[in-house]
Amino acid sequence: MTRQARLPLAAAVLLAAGLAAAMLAPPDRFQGNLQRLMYVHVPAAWLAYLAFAVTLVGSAGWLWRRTPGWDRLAAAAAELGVVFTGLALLLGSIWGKPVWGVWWTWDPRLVTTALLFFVYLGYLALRRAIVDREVRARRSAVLGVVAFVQVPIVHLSVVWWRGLHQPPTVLRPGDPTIDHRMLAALLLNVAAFTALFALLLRQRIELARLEAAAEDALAAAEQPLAGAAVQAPRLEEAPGRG
Amino acid sequence: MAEWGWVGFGFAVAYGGLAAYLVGLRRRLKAARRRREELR
Repeated sequence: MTRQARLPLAAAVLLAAGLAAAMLAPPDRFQGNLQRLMYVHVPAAWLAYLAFAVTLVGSAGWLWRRTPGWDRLAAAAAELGVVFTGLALLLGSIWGKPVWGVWWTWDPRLVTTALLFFVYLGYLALRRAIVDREVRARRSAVLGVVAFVQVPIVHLSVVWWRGLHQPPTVLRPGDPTIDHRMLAALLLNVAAFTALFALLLRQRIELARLEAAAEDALAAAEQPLAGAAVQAPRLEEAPGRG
Repeated sequence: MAEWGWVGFGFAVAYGGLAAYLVGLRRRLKAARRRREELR
């Protein structure tokens, strides 16, 4: 088997195993089977953290080395981070409706997560708005570093402020406050989502590389025409003159 | 909706959403490769 094919296979096997583990894990004492939504909601949220951490690394790497590979890594991971944050918000909403009775509430965790989503959506918009590659890389690298401040704020929001969302049960000081069978199923699903993230990241970086190559090819093709485009029209050729 | 209905809905959104993104990404990759060939 080629090295390229190993990751999709590992992701598929882990996702199937994760789904089985999520269905076979014991139900929660208070929420019953509804708690099984944790096995997709929590991995989506953690992968969003990981994606934005990769964006931070890529951004810091670009500011340090100024090589395009770091910028492509940051951009690819930010897009995935937005996908996983959107998914975590959607799944939280689907879990919240039957448990809390509402699709949305102005809880600190929900509000900070929504803010995280919109700030990184802004990061992607910024990248599309700037044509010059150097300027785009510099500005988005600065935003990629600064925006990461939100990740610990989102994570600790349930500790700092009182709200409906439950406090951390795994990523907390001390031992996890979760049944070990539930923890095993959760970690298996985190591993499955991480394998899928690695697969998506690899493909998104490849896409960014191809887009950069196309930009280069277009710039090279337009180079001889650049002088001609700025020449003033001759008077006798100007429209409206007999 | 029964408990399992919500669970099924949530898992469908999670797996369906990720599958849709993967399919979209593969289409964008295919289009980018085609464009590279055209520009050569």
